[in-house]
Amino acid sequence: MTISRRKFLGWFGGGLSATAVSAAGTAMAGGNHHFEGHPDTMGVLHDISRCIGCRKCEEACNRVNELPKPEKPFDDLSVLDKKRRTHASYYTVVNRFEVDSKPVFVKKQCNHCMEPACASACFVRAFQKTPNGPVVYDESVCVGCRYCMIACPFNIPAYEYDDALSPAVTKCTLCAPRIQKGQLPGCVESCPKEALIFGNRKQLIKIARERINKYPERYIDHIYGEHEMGGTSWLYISNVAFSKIGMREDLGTTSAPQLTSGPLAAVPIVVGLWPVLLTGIYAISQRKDKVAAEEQAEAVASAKAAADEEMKQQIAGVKKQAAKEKEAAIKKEVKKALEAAAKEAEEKNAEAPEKKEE
Amino acid sequence: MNFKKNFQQLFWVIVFFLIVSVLYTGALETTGKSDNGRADVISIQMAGGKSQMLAVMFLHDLHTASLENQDCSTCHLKDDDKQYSFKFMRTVDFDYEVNMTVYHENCIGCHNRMKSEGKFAGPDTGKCRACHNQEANVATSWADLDFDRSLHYRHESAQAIKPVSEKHKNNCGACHHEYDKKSRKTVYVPGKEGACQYCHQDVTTGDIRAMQTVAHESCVNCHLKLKSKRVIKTGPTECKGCHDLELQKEIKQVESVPRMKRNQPDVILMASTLMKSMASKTKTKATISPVAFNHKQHETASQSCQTCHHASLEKCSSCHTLSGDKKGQFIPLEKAMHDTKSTQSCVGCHADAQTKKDCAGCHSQMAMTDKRSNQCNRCHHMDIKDSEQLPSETDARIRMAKASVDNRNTKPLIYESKIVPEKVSIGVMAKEYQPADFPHEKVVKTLLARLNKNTMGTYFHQDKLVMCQGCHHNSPQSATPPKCASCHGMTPKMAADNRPGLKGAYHGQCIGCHEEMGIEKPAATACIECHKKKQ
Amino acid sequence: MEQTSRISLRPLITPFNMILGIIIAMGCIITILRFTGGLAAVTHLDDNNPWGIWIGFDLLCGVALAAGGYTTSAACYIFGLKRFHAAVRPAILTAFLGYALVVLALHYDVGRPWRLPFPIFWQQGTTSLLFEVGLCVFLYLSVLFVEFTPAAFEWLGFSKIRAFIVKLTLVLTILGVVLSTLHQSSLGALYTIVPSKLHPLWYSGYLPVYFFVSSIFAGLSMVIFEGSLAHKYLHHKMDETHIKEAHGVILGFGKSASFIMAGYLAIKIIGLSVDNNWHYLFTDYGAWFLIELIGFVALPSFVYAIGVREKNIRLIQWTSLWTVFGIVLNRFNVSLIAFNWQLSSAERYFPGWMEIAISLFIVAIGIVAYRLATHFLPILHEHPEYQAH
Repeated sequence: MTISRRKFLGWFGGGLSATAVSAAGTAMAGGNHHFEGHPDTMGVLHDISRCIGCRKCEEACNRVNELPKPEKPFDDLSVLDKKRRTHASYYTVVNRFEVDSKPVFVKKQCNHCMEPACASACFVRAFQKTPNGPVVYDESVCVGCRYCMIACPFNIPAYEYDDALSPAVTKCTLCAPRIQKGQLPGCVESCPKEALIFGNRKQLIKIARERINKYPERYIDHIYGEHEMGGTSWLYISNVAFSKIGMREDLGTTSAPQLTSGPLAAVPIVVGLWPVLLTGIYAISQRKDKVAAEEQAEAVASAKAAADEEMKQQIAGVKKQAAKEKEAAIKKEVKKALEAAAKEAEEKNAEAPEKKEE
Repeated sequence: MNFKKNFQQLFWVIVFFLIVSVLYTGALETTGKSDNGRADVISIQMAGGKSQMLAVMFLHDLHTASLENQDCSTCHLKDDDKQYSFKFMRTVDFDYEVNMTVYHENCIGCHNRMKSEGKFAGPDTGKCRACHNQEANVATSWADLDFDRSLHYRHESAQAIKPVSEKHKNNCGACHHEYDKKSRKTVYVPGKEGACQYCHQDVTTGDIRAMQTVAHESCVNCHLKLKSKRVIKTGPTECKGCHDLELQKEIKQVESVPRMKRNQPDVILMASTLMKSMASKTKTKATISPVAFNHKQHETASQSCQTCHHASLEKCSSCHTLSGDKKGQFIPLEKAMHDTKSTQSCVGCHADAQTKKDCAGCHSQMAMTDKRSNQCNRCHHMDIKDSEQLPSETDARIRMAKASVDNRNTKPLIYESKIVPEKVSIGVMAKEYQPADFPHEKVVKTLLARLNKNTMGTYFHQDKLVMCQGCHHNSPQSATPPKCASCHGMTPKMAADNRPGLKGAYHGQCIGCHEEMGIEKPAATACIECHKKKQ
Repeated sequence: MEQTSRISLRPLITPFNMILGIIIAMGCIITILRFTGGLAAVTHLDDNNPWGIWIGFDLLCGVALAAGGYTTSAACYIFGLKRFHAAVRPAILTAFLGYALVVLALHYDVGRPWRLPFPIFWQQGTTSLLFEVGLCVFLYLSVLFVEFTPAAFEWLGFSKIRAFIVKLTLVLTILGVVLSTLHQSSLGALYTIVPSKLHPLWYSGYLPVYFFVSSIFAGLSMVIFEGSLAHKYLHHKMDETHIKEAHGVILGFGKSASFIMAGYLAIKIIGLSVDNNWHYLFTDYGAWFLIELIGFVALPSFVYAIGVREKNIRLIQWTSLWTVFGIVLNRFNVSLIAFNWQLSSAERYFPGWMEIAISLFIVAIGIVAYRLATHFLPILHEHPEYQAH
């Protein structure tokens, strides 16, 4: 199959830039940067082995955030029979799991990631990671695209689908206004077993590590949230494997913004390179057309000239022929005339001698 | 017509894809879904090959089930002693290529034979990865068999197992042997019986074959022999009979196993340093009181001798010397005796006992890393101050140790009511709720009752103030311990360390204890039981 | 060809138009429901599945299939393939209508559609690939609008403005390709943020490249498909050039689509090896992936080649529809089928009938608008006064 030069160059250039795009896709945008988190980030440590599933945290959250009262009251523990997820007006839920025929209770809410996927995904910057820990949501700019719900690896943000004109995304706020005032988040304050403790994230990691070291037979040797998705402000330690209590252990340690930094980095390259490439292709194709047109014109001209030449020669030939014929005709006439004259002369001569004899 | 030609081409394309999809669904079949777990998965991989093929996950019981009337000789050859070699179709290992041929020819040959008889059979030539399927991750329910005292006694007392020769009254020699290097044979040496694993390790080392090989050779062959003699009660001949987790639970447990007769002492005086000095005839002071060890009692408390005598029946200090020796993996005597993480050490086993429900209420909340130096004298209390006070004869030492053991007080503990308050009124939340009336005496009585069930419990809590430390912890032993609130302040806003606030301390201690001890009333979530609403 | 300057009512009442009318009427009713009852009243969306077919079909497929605009204008003006000139205006019209309808569909899906300008004009979330999509779609829609205006201006008679815009053609085309590359790839890149939710066979760091490359042959196939439909049903609106060039467009686009699809197949296989995902091919999802890749990319690529070689126009036209289905299948797979694959079947999403009705409504509006445009404007024929172009 033959391919035109134009096409080949076009695809070659396209291939080059595609490689550039994919290389950019795998490279870490910004080189070897490593975000350690804001130093004063607060967090919460959830000790799953301590949770008794009393739902006081859910009640406190509902009260502190002035959320609508649910159908079943918070002391109705039969709701734990079904697994629940966060929902509009349910910023946090407690779930019960049966592991080795013993019940284990886990509280689930926004993990306030160090590099939140929701904040990275939001195209109006409605989510912000504040320096002291909470990931806060600004309802006043939210368009309701729900990309944050897609992006969150923990499936936390919920949406007010029932609201026609002012639906908002809902999630735990880490009681940002309360902690500003020096108070504890509602759930932390109300937990009777101190299964939730609030403090500086770095300090909480130390506390968690200490607790695990002190009771190695009780705890799984892992602080969930220390590194998952780049680290979260909400940390968990547990007496059973995390995968058995609905917490995914396959999320990896790469933060969401890092995952999209590759494609984003490719954008300016495309903006810079594509016009050059495309204009180049255009110029080449124009030039090709021009050269083709010139060649064609030349071919036409030379063909015309050749035709002219041939015509000229033909005319010259015809002229010569005509001249020859004319000459021949003249000669013939002259010959004829001469012959006629000669004949006449002869006849005259024949008459003349007869007269002399008399 | 152009259409016809295109249709023809399309036809062949479609045929090609149909063939590919048939092959593909064949590949799909082999990645079968696994069931609840099987105990008969044997991983076969020959050493020495350059091949990148994965190990074969061979399902043994599946194949024996298909044997029907055929017996083990279908796949296993007998050696000179008429015992089955449980290698496949050979008695010794050859080099890699030959081994591989043995497997391929016999496995696939049998499959082909069965297929030609119209029976369902396994994969044949070409379906390599149907057998070499290590990544298929077949769920396994295989578990090591714990050959404990009960199982040992059943073999010991079995009539069907005969003594190895007429001059022996017991049948120990049927299994126990030593290896005579000169005659290159195993011989029974009475009085020197030990656990198989003392010589036969996990892998074959030199002349000593691996535990897996010898166990199956000895045990399964004997079971097969007895089966052929129509003995009614024989051991299992299938993998799952010994190795399936669920079936293991059905192995009959003998209630009170008679003591094993191996000339073991009843009581032992443990005084390693002093014994050394005595041997070298120098006088040294005892840096710590020697231990009078009640060996007889511990025999009944453990699964088998191997629980403590994990490498040999010699005394611990022969390998675990004071400063450590290569024989003992450089674990010094102190660690061998006191390591809380190992179930082979004294303290480790005692620590493990604390996880029982009767003990866990208090003990689960105490960190293992805490050193309880006030408990050393529970074991180290023999009144011997220097090496000269140590008798030189073994019998005398044993008598001395026995006297010390007999002197121990193992009577149930009793607390006098007047030192234990009946109720403690906790009014921290007096604003919103009535004070919580903590039934202190009831709790102490319950703990005491459960503690007294176990002699170890009674013995280790002889000092009455020790049990109080279960809740009244991190403070000196006292009959009037400090209030909880002395150390556990109101819940701090910012967590600074692992110390819970008062709320967390109360609930953690109380609810934690209830959960660990299996106490269902009051339920952890029954807040009202303790916090009655104010009228 | 004479143009009728007024629409006679009688031919309007055809069965096809009746169906369109019903769909549009239903769409209007559901629109009211949507904006009085919220998304819950009309969709099966929930907290686990925030994006349904309004994103999966209307946005993703709509944008991919409207790619004919930039591919055709690039082929004609940048690569200088003048023989495709007749296809440019219909392609630009399709693209313009397509993108405009995508924005309309977004008004249904997004919670507060009146805030759609916010990310561009008020507060820019520049870390977000959705911002990238939004900005580039907005800019590209503007570019398409400008590219579309000459046809309108010819009809309206504004020759000076028309001449000016025509001079901008090359710049607009280049801009169109740049913006299209960016937003087509960013639509794929949207899903790079969720490796934990998208099945490994569809998730890849190369998602942006996959979406961009597939948009090229999606656009080419759509041009062939729509051109074929236009030839059948709007034949009377076409002039000689259009009719003459049609076969050339079909053959030329079929050839390039075949080639590009082969390249796409190659990079998909490369993506499989780079991530070492071969073992997933032997699962149920693997079978589905192979159906998509072999049945809807490899095979049509091959059949396109056959069609081009045999100059079999019918075959190429059917293959273009086949390819369009393949693109729709791919976008559905990424956004709906392979997304949230780990959730239990009770938690998975299936569209409600009203969601489907709105999607059909959007398509119906597109068809009506296209027919109106081709009737009044010099799309399928050249305006007699502007033959020079």
